[in-house]
Amino acid sequence: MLSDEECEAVYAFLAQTMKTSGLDDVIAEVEQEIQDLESASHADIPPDLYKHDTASSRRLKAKAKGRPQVQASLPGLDANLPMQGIEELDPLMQRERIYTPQRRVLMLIDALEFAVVDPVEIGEVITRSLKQDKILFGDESQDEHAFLLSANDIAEHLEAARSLRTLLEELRQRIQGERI
Amino acid sequence: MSTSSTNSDLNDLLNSIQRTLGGAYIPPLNTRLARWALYEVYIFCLILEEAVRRGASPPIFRNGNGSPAPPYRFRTGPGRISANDPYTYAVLDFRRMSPPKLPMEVHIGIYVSGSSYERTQSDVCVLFQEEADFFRIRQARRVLKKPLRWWPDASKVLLTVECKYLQRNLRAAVINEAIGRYKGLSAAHHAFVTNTRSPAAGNRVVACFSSDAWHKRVVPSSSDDESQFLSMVKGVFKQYIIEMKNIAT
Repeated sequence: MLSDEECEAVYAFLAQTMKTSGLDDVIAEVEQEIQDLESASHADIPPDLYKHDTASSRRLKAKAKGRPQVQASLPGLDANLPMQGIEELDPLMQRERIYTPQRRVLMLIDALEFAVVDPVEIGEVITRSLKQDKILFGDESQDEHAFLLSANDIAEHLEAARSLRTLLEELRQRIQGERI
Repeated sequence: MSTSSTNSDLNDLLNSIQRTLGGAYIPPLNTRLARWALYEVYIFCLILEEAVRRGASPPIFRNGNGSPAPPYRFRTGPGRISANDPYTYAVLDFRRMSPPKLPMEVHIGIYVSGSSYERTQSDVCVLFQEEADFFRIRQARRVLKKPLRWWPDASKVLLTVECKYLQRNLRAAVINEAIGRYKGLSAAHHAFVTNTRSPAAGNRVVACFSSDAWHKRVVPSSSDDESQFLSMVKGVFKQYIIEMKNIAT
């Protein structure tokens, strides 16, 4: 089983490799999912992190009671900065994250498989099922999205795609500490 | 990475992945939209193959404008059924069955309409040919004291499939939008198909539709999940064949 540091290094390596191949959107989707779920888990944050008033609520309370306004005094925060939400303060320590480095890298491996390996195999099923060498995809209103799927392209890449699946599975097993 | 032999193996593995990725990657499939469009056609193909196994003749492929010449062309965005578009659809003929059944059509990315009479996207849609023909010939259907219907009536849809091809689990907002959209369609069967596992999205779908409406990991490498989807499609066509109202005259 790989350590947290090793998982982080593997994540960085894969992300860089994927970026080089133009798969930025795939990395973005994975990172968005991690962010979505960790934001949703803020209920688990220790209650003392919520024990401060925001600058705006203090101003409102002070105004209502006719007292002088008091600025936010959260350590390390410039009182003149605009109010920030709890998400922007990022109070989650690494150990508190629901997505550990191991889970994060496994998600990235899945995403790589979904984005690269599965489409080649799906393309193979389509060209075989429709008995077509070439298939066009397009839309009158979105010409820039038109593309051609060719049986030759599929045939050229299928073996590499399957090898990639095997390698990714081996990497998963390394990460999870399973016997290979 | 450290210099231990284990990590040296790991480095070798990562370098192999890097090398192999270059050979596995097909540039036209570089976009999310392309992968999505490809997935819809894959589901279209699975439905056609299952229909043939249930007794339909091999599908006849047509384009909206009638020309059946290859290459086939599929939509990357939704549109209306028409008599002058270049997009390919399939005709399923059940006339060789005894008694013969009404023909169906299978389309990708068309609009249909439910009780609201407003257009609603269906990623893969199996509907009666009679209904598709009506909207190929006419702009709209007029019924006394009802709004005009500009798109095929969802009650003439045998199966509508929502396809989601993603690199992550389905977000709640995305699946809720799809559920809401399909709730307004009175199709005989609804299905939600995805390449990911998305367990939470699955729970949401099952809570609103039947348990066989949700199909996760429908991809060629996940044969069990693919079989489960095919089993649902088999049930849809089986019921279609049994029902007396579908007999062709």
